[in-house]
Amino acid sequence: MEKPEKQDICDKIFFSAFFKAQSHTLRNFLYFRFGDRDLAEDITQDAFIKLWQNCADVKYPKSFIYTVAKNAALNHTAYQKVVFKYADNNPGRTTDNQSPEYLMEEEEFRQKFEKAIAGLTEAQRVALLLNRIEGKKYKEIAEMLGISVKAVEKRIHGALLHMSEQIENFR
Amino acid sequence: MKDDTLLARWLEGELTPEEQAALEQDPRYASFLRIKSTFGQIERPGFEGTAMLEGVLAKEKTPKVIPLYRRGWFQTVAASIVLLMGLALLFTRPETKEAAYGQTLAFTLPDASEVVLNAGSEAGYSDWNWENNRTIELEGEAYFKVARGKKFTVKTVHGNVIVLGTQFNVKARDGRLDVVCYEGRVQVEYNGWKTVLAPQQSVTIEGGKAVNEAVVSVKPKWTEGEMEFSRGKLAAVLAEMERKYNVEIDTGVKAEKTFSGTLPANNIDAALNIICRLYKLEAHKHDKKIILKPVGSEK
Repeated sequence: MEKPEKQDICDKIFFSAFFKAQSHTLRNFLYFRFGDRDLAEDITQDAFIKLWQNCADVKYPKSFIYTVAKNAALNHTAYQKVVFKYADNNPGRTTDNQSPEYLMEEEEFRQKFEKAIAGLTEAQRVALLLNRIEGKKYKEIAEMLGISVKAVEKRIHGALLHMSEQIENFR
Repeated sequence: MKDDTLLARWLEGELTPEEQAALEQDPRYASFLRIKSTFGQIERPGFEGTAMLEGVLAKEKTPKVIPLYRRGWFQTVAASIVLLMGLALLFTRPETKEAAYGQTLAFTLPDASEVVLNAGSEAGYSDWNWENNRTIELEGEAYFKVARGKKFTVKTVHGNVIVLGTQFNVKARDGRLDVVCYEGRVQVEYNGWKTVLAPQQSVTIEGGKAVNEAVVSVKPKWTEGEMEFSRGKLAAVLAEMERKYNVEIDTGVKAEKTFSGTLPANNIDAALNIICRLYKLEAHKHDKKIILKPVGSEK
């Protein structure tokens, strides 16, 4: 019986490809949790270092880095607000239909929006941002967080409801 | 809103045409759309990984072979470190507890505090350093018996509950926070506003207003197989019935009248009977759903 060529995480080229595929999302996951970009980067790097150093013993690299990252994150409970960049922040864009009043209302809405996100539970916030900003499907989020798809859907539903209420209350 | 995954499925375009049409009738629909479109404007946080990858690959791998001349002491120390790390990993997983519809879930925290989750509720906490940081996040409803110790905090989207060692109930659902203190002292805070509850006292925070009430029972009714409501809106009562009985109940009826009292959690016909009599409804079973219509309306 011929064994298929096993993909070896100890192989530098394969590891690099794995890093390129996974590091961005892992870093963003941690950033959504803490709002601290440097902390997210440090924990991400540590997780990949541990993977590289223990590569021969790791069966499921993706599961491994998330477990290591979540354990490393346990000491840190403080949350700083996640900062968003909006696609139309570019100056010099044509502004048809963008009266000063419209832009001001848009800016005010964004502030309420960000405040509402900061008011979510960590569970809701992380699930929602992983879906909306990172573009992950509910099944992937469930794997990353170690919960059921239904639990992910409940968190996201709850998050949207809460944001809608909060934004109304900020009027 | 009774279906607690509806908006998540809506976001991913997984609603049936009927669900979509119903959602569009919801007065909050415009708000949901705006939230969705605002997310569409947000850029994914960028990441430059080249330097990080180089840093990772540069790390020397730990040698598998222990030099002979260090054998003995070194091996013992290495083994102890590995064991400690293993134990640390074992004890420091963040925990998520969930009670599905039709169930309750009881569990113990690392300091022997007890928690009972009501149906359709979820709690999250971290084992690590629990004695010094007793914080648990709650979505839904839970009854707590907290062991004496440092500050114990329950965080919900509708407010935080802080205690020092007591028995109390927290319900955070549908824009409303209800806290009942059964023993000890409970501090409830929301948006800078605080209150302290003594035993048999409760507070309800909804729409920026707080209402205090005296409570007669010594334990929440839901832990003893009943559903208790205090000025509950019809939609909230039906939602709780759905969670306790794991059924789907639909009604087009909106009512001003609120319900204060108890319903059985082990006899759905009796429970429906009470509600139907109060709101002048009739229950029709259709497929797996229960539909409540005003008495005398067409089937």
